[in-house]
Amino acid sequence: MKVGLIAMSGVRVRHPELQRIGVTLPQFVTRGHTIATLPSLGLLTVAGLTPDDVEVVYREMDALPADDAPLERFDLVGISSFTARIRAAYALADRYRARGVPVVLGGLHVSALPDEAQRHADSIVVFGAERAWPALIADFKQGRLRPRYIGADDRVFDAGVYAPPRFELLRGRPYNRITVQTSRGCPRRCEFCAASLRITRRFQQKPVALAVREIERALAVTRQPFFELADDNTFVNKKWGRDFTEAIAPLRIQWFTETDISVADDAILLERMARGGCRQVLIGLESPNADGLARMNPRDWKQRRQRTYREAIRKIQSFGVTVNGCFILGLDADTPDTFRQIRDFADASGLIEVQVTVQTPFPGTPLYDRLEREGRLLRAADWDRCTLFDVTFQPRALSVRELEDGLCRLFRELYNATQFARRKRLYMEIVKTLPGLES
Amino acid sequence: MTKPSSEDRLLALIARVAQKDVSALRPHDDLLETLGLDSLTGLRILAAIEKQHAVRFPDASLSRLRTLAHLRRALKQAGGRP
Repeated sequence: MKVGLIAMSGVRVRHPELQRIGVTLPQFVTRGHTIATLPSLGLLTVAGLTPDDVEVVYREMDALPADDAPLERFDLVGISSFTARIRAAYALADRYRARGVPVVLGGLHVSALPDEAQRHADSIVVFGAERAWPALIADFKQGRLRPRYIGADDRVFDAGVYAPPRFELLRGRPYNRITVQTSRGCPRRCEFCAASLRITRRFQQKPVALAVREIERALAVTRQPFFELADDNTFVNKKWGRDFTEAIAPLRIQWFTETDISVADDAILLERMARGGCRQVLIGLESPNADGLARMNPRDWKQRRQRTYREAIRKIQSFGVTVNGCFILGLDADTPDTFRQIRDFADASGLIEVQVTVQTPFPGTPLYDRLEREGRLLRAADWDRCTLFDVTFQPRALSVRELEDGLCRLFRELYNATQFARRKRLYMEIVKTLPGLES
Repeated sequence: MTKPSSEDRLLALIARVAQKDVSALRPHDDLLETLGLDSLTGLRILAAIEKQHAVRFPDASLSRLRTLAHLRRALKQAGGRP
């Protein structure tokens, strides 16, 4: 039995001016592009959950093959996709099904809209693949595939549930970035977040030993890659973070992760992160103004932390760990002045990297539900435009055109050669203050 | 005992900061691609070189300092101490 696991990749911005900027500003390497070129950790995990007697093939598909092109032969196909590529995933699924090949769809979008996905699949997996995929394979072998399987949304790292990703399926491919996950979920529960917290009942942390073993397995099959921790928020548990960073230091890897601003509260953790090879943390700052953060989280967590942003950035970066400060445009409190405020904050705060995205109502999020209730979604099911850079809703205090134009202008101001060189110089001067740089 | 050449010192510094074997590095090899380095580690190398040689490369040139040949030329232009 041969199973094909296909990741739909290649998110494409729709706005023509942004497309042009992406070509003319070489420094404009978007987080979306980086994410889109990472291997699909979800499908590598599905492969790990597949019994040994089943052959698994992993594929990434940037574009649909031509209508009359032959499709690679499998007995069963599993497809995973971001929202922005889900229509392409459905089209691929339809083609395989038209050829008599059963298709399983899964992933975050499918979990958010199972009924929509069901129309294009013989079976769907909702929530994680743990518990669901092994049962699905067993049923398929016996010719009784069910239309829907509910995966584990809790205790996913327990023995008997967890399986390591099959990084060996990447052997021979030129990845210079590999993902490893150390947690699922996030207690901050931002209104807009469409990540793993939507398929997880509560924040879950992988035991340090399991995480280290996964990194070792990845190192065994790829030339020393840069690691990305595929977490919503790696350092919620500071004690775990200290143990983890201590444990990976001997591996001498360099890595990136996402976490929240409270990481600045723990100097011991920051020191171990630096010593353990952490090069950058992405932190969702979202807005330089407290108003913009109102009602974003339960108990307004980010709003209450906003006044600590500059000092926290300075402190984190003083250890040599750069901060990629992430801002969201189009929040309800945003005005035409917000673009300048973000640019000014980026300059004054010393952020080594800045990311700006457009507020995007992904299905299954409280943001989507609220904007739908308020009648502010521009089009129904506008999935192709869920790129993080295309506007899919009516902002409250800006026109759509003002938001789009402001975004383009801000990109040009943030991602030009002068700004790029300035941020590089900032980082180099910080690095020169670090102990043991030359030894 | 002979003093290490400036070339040897440069390679040794890159090896220490990058934590990589640089013995096979050729003058026109792209450091990041050849050694499998991320861009921030590349900047750490430049920072270490600036600090060791008491120089400052022009900011506009930082993106171009990608090979041993580039670094040697830049050090010479910056008047770096051997």
